[in-house]
Amino acid sequence: MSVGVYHPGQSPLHRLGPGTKLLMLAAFAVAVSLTDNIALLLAIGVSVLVAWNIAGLTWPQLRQNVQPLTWMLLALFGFQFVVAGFFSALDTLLSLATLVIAAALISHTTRTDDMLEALTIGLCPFTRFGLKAEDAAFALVFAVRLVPFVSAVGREAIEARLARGAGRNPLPALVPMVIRLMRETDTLSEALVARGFGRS
Amino acid sequence: MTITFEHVTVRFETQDVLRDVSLTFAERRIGVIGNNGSGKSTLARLINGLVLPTSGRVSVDDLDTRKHGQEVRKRVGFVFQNPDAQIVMPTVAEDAAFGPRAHGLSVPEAAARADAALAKFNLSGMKGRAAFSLSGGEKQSLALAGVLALDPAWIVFDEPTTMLDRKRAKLAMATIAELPQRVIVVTHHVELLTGFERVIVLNDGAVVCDDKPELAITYYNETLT
Repeated sequence: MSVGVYHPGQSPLHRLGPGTKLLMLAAFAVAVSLTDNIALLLAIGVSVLVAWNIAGLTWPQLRQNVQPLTWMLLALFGFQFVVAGFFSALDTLLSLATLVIAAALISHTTRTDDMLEALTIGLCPFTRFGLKAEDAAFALVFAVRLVPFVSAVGREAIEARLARGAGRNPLPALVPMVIRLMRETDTLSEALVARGFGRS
Repeated sequence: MTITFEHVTVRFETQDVLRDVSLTFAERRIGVIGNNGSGKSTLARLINGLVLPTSGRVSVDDLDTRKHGQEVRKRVGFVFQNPDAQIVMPTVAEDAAFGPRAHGLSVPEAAARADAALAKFNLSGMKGRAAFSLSGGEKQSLALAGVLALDPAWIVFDEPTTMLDRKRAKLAMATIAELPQRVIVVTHHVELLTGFERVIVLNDGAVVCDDKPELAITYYNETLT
């Protein structure tokens, strides 16, 4: 089991239509970002964890989803703490963590093909502005596949620094990581074309 | 079933990577060898339109790669050196079905094709697994299964054994040998080309030898290594 991978099951969340789940997630994101009530955010967080359990997903799976984002969440917490104080930082941390878990919950309980179809339908109104709905939907789903990939590249960049005697600070590893990601992205896009996606 | 290169030149910025290459491929097993930077990966990528010629023409069964890229890619599968680069979907089953879906097959049709291809590589029991979590050998098998799910007439392998240990490299070559498709293998491991019908040697963007494997490999060993 890895980040965002469909986990078969018969829970109420599995049976819910993909479009409904995506709309719920969008509404959830708006609600979470609008509130700054810490007690309410904690309550929302607990309900998401209950839903996680009902969906038959495990705690190690939860950790797998949150772990790759730990540094980013902590960095944001630190930044907000300095700029706006503790409660604002806690608000940001809780909102983002809850949102990440809710998004993971949706992707673990929805087949990729169902997700693609729902997103394509949802994006159809934007085709009048030149958006290719199928391509845009695929890009969103493809992003899920990239999470473990980006995480692995980041880990390797930090390990490469450690092997050469540098410290564990991840920030200096960002530049080599971004350069390697850009190179790997070229190869991935080539693979997409080779397998029939896109270019005519 | 032929692949034709007509006076093909590929230029990246100011450098000619391939220079006036004319070839016709019709054999079942063809090897392409050469040192790093000789142009062999570019030649492989020209075949299914991943790279387009700066001048000249590449065609597969008379279909110009420049005008009929999608149709050409249905006929020519491409297996990359790094299987990680070829995996584009979250689970094994979804990844194997990606090619057929991208070529317009319905979900059940694509799933049936993917199931059959995965069964060939003993991956049926891993359909729900995260593709990213497979071992190196399993990823290589998945990459090949994803290509076979399209049922192409040709399969191009770009350095298929470079990232494998000796045991896995042997296994990969045994798998390639058994494929019913016509195969083009780009490599600098000349020992992999046993039993091939034709070997092309590239150097500095030009074809310097095009012969039976034993003669072409001798030329490569004596002249370029």
